[in-house]
Amino acid sequence: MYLENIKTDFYEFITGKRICLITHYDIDSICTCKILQSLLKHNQTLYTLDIVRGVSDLRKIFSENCNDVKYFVLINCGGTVDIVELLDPDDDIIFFILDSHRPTDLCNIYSNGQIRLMWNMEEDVQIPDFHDIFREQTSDADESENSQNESEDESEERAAKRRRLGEEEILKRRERRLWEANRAKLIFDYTQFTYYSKASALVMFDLAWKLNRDDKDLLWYAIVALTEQLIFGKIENTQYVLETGNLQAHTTRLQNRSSDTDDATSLKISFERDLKLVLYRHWSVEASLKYSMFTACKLKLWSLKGDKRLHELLADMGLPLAQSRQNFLSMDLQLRQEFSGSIERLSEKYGLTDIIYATFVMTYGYRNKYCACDVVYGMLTILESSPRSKRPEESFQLALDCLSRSHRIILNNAIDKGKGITKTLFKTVQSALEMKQIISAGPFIYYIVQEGCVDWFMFSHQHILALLAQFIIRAYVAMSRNRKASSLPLIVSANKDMESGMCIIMGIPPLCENSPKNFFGKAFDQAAEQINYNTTCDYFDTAYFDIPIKDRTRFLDALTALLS
Amino acid sequence: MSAEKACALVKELHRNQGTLPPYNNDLVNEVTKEITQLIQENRNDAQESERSRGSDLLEGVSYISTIRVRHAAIQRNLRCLLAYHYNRVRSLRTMRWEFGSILPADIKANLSTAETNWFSKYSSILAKYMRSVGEDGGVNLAVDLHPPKALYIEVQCLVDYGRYELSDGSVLLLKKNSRHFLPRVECEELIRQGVFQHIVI
Repeated sequence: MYLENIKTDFYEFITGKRICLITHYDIDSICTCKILQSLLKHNQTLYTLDIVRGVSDLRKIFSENCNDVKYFVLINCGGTVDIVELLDPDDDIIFFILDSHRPTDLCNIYSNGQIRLMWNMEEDVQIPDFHDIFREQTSDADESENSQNESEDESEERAAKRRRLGEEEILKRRERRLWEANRAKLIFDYTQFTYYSKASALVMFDLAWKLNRDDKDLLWYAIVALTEQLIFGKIENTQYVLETGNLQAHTTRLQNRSSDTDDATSLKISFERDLKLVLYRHWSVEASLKYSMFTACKLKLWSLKGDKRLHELLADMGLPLAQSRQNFLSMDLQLRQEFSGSIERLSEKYGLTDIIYATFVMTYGYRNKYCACDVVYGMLTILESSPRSKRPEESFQLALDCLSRSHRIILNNAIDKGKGITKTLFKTVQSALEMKQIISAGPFIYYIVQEGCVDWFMFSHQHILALLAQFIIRAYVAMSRNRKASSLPLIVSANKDMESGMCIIMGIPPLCENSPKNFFGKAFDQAAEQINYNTTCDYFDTAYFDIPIKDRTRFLDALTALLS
Repeated sequence: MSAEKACALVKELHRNQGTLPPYNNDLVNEVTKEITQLIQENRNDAQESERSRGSDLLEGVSYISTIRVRHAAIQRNLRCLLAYHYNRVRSLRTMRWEFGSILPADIKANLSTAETNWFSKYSSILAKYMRSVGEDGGVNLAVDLHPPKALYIEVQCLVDYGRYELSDGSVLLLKKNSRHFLPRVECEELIRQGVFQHIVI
């Protein structure tokens, strides 16, 4: 059931009650969590915070808490699975779901109050009508009554009745079969593509705005969540631009409202046109140009010729090589100020159009200037690249702390490690291209992360694997001479860890479609059925799948057969 | 060298800053003995000086410098003894505020009888005062040693504690690294035990 008015139906409903907050393990949920926490603190609502990474975690947390808490708020998890069937809750337990995964499960939409979805109905597209999916059970009852009556009557009357009833029954059965076929088709069409819609943090920020409790900190969390969706390719560019328009309006509105006493050092958020270079403010120019996905793919920087082209670009910009190898903040002031302008000027000559995009930059104090994507990379490092001994809950808490300004050191350390991740991604793609490890299997191309390569365990997490997949598909299309290369989807696979013998598989749609709608969920399910592997997908985003390593080749064969 | 033992007393207390070491009865007795001894020697010297002065004002042995040195030593001993006792009682007072009126057994073993008497009297005075403050039976002032900034705080659970029942009846499941937002009064006890850690933004 959709909630019409979040303010009354959710926020005021929860006031004074104890709730359990269940959040998914990704950056958008962390931002939503922080916004919601500040709202709940104002309201003095008691809450408990728990983290889930997949469907089995959700089941475990629910079973632990279901006796004590009556109200569950699920952030970025549970929208796409049938909650009532999965968790089997008591009737007085109510779930509030705020999930950016789509398509929402139909049982959740048509639930009669136990499951409440916190967004508008208009944002979900093509929901099948209620009567097309659910049918009342009276027809079944009629049929069973008829069969009972038949056994009680005498044979003659039975025969006569049977003839009459036979016709009606046959008609009913035929109608029922048609209805079921239609239902199956509708459900298949509806659940065929999985995609993401508006970030949960944006919805939560809207709620904060309606309650008049918004401020620049909460706005910054919403901005980070939106940037995360863009960087991982979860939404299209047009959607991103629309949402940044909204957020820009909020920025100008909140510009002068500051809670700090000293205006020079208070938090300022500005809307700027910035370069698509990863972490360039905290790194050297040459490194950032070399390892960012955008420039690496456009200039083909993994080859020697690419290196020469990079140096040519730097020379054209008037940047001495020694300066470009220094930390950005230690470059000459004039060079720094002209840097973004000169790249824009030369973008056409080097084929780097679209390197400029609109984003938000935050400054506070005298030294700290962070772009939204810097923060996203920092948090990604904390969440997915921490040492293996650290439990996910600890990384989650650290990422929550990293967003707040008083823990600047955490963010700086994370950004430093983020540089390592970007380098590793680049090196992996470079070796994949040189050793021709991106194999074409007919209807798709695939790449398996070798166990011996450097930092292979980093790729066992969802989002870093997504970044790798994006990089590989763009690099492959840039390098390939095949004209149909851009219409091939890509599947990447990486080992999860040394002991369990499982690996994670992920698929992304081809570049030519230009849309993040992913059809691999259904494909993976069917392929798994064919190789008799009976576990369903544990992740909330069905583009990912877990299988044992020994079944991997058979799985890929089954997929090839399915998709061709 | 005189006043060394008194110095040793003070050093011992300084070495154990957080806890209360056993009451060093022997050393205290030795110091008092030294004081009496010094006083006695001073008195002897003063008497002798008085005797030797006798008739002749100019002649006569004057022990005034020795007497002065010994007097300084006596005062130093007294000061050290006072410091020792006073600081012990101070830390005992802080313990009353931290632990409540029942002290842990190992600390109780370290007190002298005078100190235990003092402690019980102090506890009763404090309890009488707390009962008189505020309505309805008084306020337990020992709950918050710093003035609280908010009614509700966010805490992180550090150990696997299991189920914990709040005062309003609802049950919490405390797992390691889970975060909760609870009223301050419920969390104080667990924070002191080390189960919870207060999260500041």
